Amino acid sequence: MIEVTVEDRAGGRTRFAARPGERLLHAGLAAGLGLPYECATGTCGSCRATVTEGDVGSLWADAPGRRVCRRPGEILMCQSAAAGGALSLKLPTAFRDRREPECRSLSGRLSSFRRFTAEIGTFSVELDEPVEHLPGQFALISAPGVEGPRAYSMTGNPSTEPRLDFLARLSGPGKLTPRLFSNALEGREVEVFGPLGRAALRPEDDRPFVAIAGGSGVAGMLSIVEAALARGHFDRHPSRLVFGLRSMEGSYLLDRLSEFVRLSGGLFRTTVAFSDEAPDPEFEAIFPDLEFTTGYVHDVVRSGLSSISADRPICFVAGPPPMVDATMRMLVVEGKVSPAEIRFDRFG
Amino acid sequence: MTASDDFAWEPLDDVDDLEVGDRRELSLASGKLVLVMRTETGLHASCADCPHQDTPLAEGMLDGSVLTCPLHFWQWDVTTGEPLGVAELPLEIFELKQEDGRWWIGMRR
Repeated sequence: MIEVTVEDRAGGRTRFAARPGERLLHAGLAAGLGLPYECATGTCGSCRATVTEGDVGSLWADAPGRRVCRRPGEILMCQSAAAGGALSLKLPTAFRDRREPECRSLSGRLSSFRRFTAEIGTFSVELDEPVEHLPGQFALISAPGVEGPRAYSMTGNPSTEPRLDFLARLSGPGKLTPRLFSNALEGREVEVFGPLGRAALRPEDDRPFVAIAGGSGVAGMLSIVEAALARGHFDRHPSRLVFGLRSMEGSYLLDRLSEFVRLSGGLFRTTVAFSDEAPDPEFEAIFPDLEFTTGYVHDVVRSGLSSISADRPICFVAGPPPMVDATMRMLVVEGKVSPAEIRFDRFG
Repeated sequence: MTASDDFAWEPLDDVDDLEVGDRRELSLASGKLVLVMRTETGLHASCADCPHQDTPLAEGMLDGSVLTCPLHFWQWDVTTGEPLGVAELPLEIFELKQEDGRWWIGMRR
């Protein structure tokens, strides 16, 4: 094992051990450290650190997130591994409080891939043992023969079953999702690292929430709503989901959202916003429990901003970066919502 | 009180047209990048990049005296540099003065 010393901006210093070749972010998180990260897959740049002593190997030299590494010695901890000998890192931020379940690496088998549209599907990983997570968190999945891990959000209410359910979107340069969609990986062994992410519903949350999801960003919201239903959250705090999709033809999971609305007795409301077309009355009639509208999700949320300002709900925001950024700008600038009240995940 | 001699002053051109709510990234003669903003209380100048991830703050949002970084939504009061909300670090603020109808920005020596 390689000893890694980490110093944060405030001068706090701690140590963890990493195996040769192990991703530094994974090793640190698994050791219980509050290291900074967001995507954990090399895109966002949030896990930047400076190597002050020792050497690291880069696992993805062209990672998009490396654009933030502009000075000598700067690395992304999610895409770097200890190369041997003692290693010292310096963080540009403070250690975060760890309020989420411990991260760890587990093995499991892929199963139950189900395709909803040309680019959206769900699948499960049957684990060797259960893993604790919060509703709204995600995990990294690595498959043999597929370079690098890929992030997927858990869609179910956390349970003691040794299984995790995920939503997958076929897009971008990732190599794992296309193989899921071609059913080439059914039954294959995979490694799961997690749980990750802070855009989660916590046990102590006792306020209404507004969940704002674009496309596959709805994955974590499914988990949050299911968990909220199970704990009777909506009886005390009526809450809402705004789900942005492009078109009726490309829609998915509306039957499951309808069921959530029914189970809540209408105390949980869902508005589906189509960006590219107006909802057809015949389509709306298929899902009488849902509300439909036209426009981008941030515009739909803007129309209800006065109630957000008055009720001070928890705001969950997840989806592609342009959608998350537009929604955050609207909430922060127009709604005067403190960023501390918003839990967001950008899906690169 | 800070003496004016504590600063190296550089001229700051191209700011007179800034209206309340406007901000502009400027490159000083020394090569340093700064962000100049106008609020209801006047003209203010800060470092151009977020102290968190070096994101250009010209792409952020200025609302009253609150500047918000567009990447992780760190916020500051631009009149003092005080961190707000989720920000973990203060924002470096530069002295400004107007002499003979021209704006100057002071870099601490």
